[in-house]
Amino acid sequence: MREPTAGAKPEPQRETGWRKDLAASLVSMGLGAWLFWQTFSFNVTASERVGGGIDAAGYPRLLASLTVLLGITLAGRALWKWRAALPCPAASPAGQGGGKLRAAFSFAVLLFYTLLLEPLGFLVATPLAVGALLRIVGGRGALHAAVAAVAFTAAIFVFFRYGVNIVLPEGLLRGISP
Amino acid sequence: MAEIGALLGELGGLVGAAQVSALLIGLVLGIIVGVLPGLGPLLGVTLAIPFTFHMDPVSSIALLVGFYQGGSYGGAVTATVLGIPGTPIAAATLLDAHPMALAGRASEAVTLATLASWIGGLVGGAVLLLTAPALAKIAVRFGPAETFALAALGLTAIASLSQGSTLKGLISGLFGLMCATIGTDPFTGIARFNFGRTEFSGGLTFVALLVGLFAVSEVLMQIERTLRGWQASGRVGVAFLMFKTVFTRFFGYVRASLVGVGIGIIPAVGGVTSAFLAYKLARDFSKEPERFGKGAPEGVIASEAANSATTGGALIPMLALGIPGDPIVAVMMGGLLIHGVTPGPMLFFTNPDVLNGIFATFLIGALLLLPLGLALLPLFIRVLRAPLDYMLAGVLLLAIFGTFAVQRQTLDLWIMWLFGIVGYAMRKAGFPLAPLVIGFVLGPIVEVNLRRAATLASSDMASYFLGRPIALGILVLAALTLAFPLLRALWQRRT
Repeated sequence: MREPTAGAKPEPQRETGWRKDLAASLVSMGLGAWLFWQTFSFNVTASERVGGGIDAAGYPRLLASLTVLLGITLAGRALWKWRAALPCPAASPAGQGGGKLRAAFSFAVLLFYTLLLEPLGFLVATPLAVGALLRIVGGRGALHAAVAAVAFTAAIFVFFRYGVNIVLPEGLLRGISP
Repeated sequence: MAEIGALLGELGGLVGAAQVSALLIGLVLGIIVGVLPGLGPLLGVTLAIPFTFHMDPVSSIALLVGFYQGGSYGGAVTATVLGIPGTPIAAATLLDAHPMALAGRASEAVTLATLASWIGGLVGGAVLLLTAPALAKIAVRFGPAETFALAALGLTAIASLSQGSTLKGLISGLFGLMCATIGTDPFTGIARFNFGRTEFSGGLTFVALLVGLFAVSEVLMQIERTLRGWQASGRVGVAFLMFKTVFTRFFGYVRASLVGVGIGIIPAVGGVTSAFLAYKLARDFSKEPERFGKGAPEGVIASEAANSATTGGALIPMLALGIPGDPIVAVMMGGLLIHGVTPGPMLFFTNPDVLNGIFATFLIGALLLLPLGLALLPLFIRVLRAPLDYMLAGVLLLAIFGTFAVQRQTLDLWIMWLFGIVGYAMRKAGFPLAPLVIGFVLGPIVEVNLRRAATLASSDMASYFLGRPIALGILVLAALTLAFPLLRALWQRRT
């Protein structure tokens, strides 16, 4: 790769947000269109059609139409940004690759935890999930993470069970859980 | 005056040990979440909402008010000690508080910030007490057209003035309104967007949406960023000498507080603007403006008094008009709705005890902020040294079980994760989250009043609104708030 020569004017950073805007506009249009279509499944009888069309189905239909309309506007703006190749006013701090992976792994742990919460129970599933999170997020050693996870689980259990009197899922420990 | 005296006497009788305990817990935990960079009062109020389900309405609002006041103040401690704002509203505070700390005057800066927050809170509370009932007396005459117009103004203001583009703010608000239509139609009782599941007949669980949108997405963003610990250096204590500034700089405190409360009343503008505006005014009025930014005590006073007073101002439109002025107030409004208490002018007639309880807890919270903030200062400084991964794990566990505790069903957890991802994606794409939650809270008000107005108008909406000048005026104002960013851009281009 060529090194930039000393004193050379740096290439201005170009607006790249148009891709995100275009994607967001497509999501808005798609969501609005889908919701609009869904409103036809509402069981509104003729006697309930009052208010000049702004009824049980008409109101969400109006919102869905506006969502599509604003999605189209956003798409237009994204394409205009792309055409104009505007200099980026304030590039948002991009997440580092490792950070994104860390967030994705953490989220996966949380989803698995939610799946296992009822069958395993709070006292079994929580230390496993918290331990995994501390390993992923904080890079803690196995022993450190395990001790901290047990302490977190105990604190949350005591707070919910005895502090606000809420029974957490018992799962495998049903009948023997405190 | 006699009326105010009677009201104050009544307020005292409404707050018992349970309410004061809730307020104290809220204040202490609120300051802690305010102190921790990246968290802040919004996250604090969000995480507190599930625990209010099992409380009486006044205790629950006391807890939330505590989080709001404490969280708004806590950021100043971080701004002083670390030089990074614990919350966005403390950004103006650090301009002078941190240079003071670097010059070995951290104790003075923190004491000044606490005093300023205390006075700002008291002024905000006093204006809230005096203004909200008067405004409600006017608003109680409003019909469906005016109420719809007010809700529309609340939404357009937050969409156009919050972070990001107006267009994205509007899409976010519309998404919130759409989410509010899930469940049973309020007029006919027919099912809408329930995807064949009876669990959705009551609509989306507010707590699950809220916690996912704000707490989960925030934690994911924090995990994604480079993790590093914070180093709070130096000893910080109470500088009692600063108390004399209450007399020597009295007008500075009051001026900033009035700016804060005035800005707070305007929907969506909020604490950041009020703090910077008060800071600028203090600099403009100063005989030595060159000291600002280099450790001027007046700068700390202005910023903190203003952002603290904003909390009182922001509650006025919610209580008097039923329109939340900022996302924290929207969350608090949701907390009241959970208890069947609908904020707005009718609250003054239907639930005067709850309303007076809100006034009382706000004033007591403002009073307690000073002794609590100074007495527990070593604890708050210690919190800054806590490992971030422990903090995030704690926030996640509270988010999960706070949400679970509401209905004790895992479906709410899935909704929370879904909105966590939605919130994360929206943050990444530059969509503000506040309009979504305000849209969700205002959704039923918008729908019911629009449909009532449409029924009354009997298919001629234009004539109906033209015949109602107040509603028309508010709608014109709503249109102007949408045009404001465009006009500002055009103006900037011309000049």
